[in-house]
Amino acid sequence: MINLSYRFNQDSCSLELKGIPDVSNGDSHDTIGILSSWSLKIIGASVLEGEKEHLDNLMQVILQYSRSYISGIRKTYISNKKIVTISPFGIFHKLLLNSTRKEVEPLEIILDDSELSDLTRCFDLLRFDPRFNISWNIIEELPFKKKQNLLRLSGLRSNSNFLYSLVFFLSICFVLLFVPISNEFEYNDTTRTSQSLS
Amino acid sequence: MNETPLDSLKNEQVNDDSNYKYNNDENALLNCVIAKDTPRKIDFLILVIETLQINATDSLLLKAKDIGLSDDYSSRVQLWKMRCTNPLRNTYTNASLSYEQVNSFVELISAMAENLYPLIRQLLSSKESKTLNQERWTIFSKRLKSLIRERMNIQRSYISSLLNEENNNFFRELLVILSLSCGEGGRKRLKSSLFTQI
Repeated sequence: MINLSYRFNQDSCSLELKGIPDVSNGDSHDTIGILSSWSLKIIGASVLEGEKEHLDNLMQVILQYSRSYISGIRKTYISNKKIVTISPFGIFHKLLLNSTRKEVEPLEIILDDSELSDLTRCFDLLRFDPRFNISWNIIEELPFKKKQNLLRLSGLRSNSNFLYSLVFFLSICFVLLFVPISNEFEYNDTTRTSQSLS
Repeated sequence: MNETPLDSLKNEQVNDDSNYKYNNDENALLNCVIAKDTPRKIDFLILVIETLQINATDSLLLKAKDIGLSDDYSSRVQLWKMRCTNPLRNTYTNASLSYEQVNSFVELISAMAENLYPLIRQLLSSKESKTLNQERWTIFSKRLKSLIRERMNIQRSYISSLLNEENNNFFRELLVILSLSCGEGGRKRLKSSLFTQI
């Protein structure tokens, strides 16, 4: 059986996958249908390895995070069984990887924007590569609902002027409520100047 | 603005390749409309491309021709007319972008971001020399601000706040969007960020 190995390189990370064609599924000789191992090297971090399920979880979390990040939403994503977690960490992103082995400590990797986009590009290249006949457990990119879009930081900032002016207006109105009104003013009705004709 | 993608899909399509892409994305964009801030976002993304590349308009038109986009990209004037849907522009037209126009902008921005990825990555990286990075950011923000001053309505409070902003958060957000828009996966991500679910 031919062992195949394909590598996806980006500036700060390199993803290598090894496997064999799934002949029963009609794969050609250069297509990986059964994944035997994978390794991900990120500059400045330990080499990540695991089974297909782990790669699936990692891809799912990173791609979901990137999907929301492109819309300006920064929130935490946790994979099934809490194997992979990614969350905002200041201007960076914290990737937390829990091993399925009990004796192995969780691994924490801090990514900057360029490393996150490198990693996302690696996974994008993999999922659209015709040399792989593997179904990845990835949630399709969908537009968000209006409510979710309200979470956007930039959106909130653009409406802040309106919000400030509204608060200012209401506070002025509140202060004006306490201003005493003079009741001693005598009202002279100028319209009542008609005289009788007689 | 409230036209759903499927309504406009009935219109004339560009070529066979894009037909395939449209059909793939068709299901993902069911019950979705173009987001309110899409014209603004698209115009600013092109402005960033213009900042990163000299004579970017010519490159945009050439790229549009290469990837087989419609007649909207036949001349600079046509492109300018579409960009004038951004309400923050000096020369704002009260028109809205159609589904096909948004789709073609997504194709174009994604293709240009792919070409400019090394430059975008350099600006987003935190691992490079701090002084060098600062210098790059100074040049980038200065050029982008001059383009904003030239094209946008500086009377608008949003534009004046952008011009006075010191930390360049919004410019960084735009670069992140471009970095996550590269390739097939990036194109899908960008597209879904420009629509809203009803």
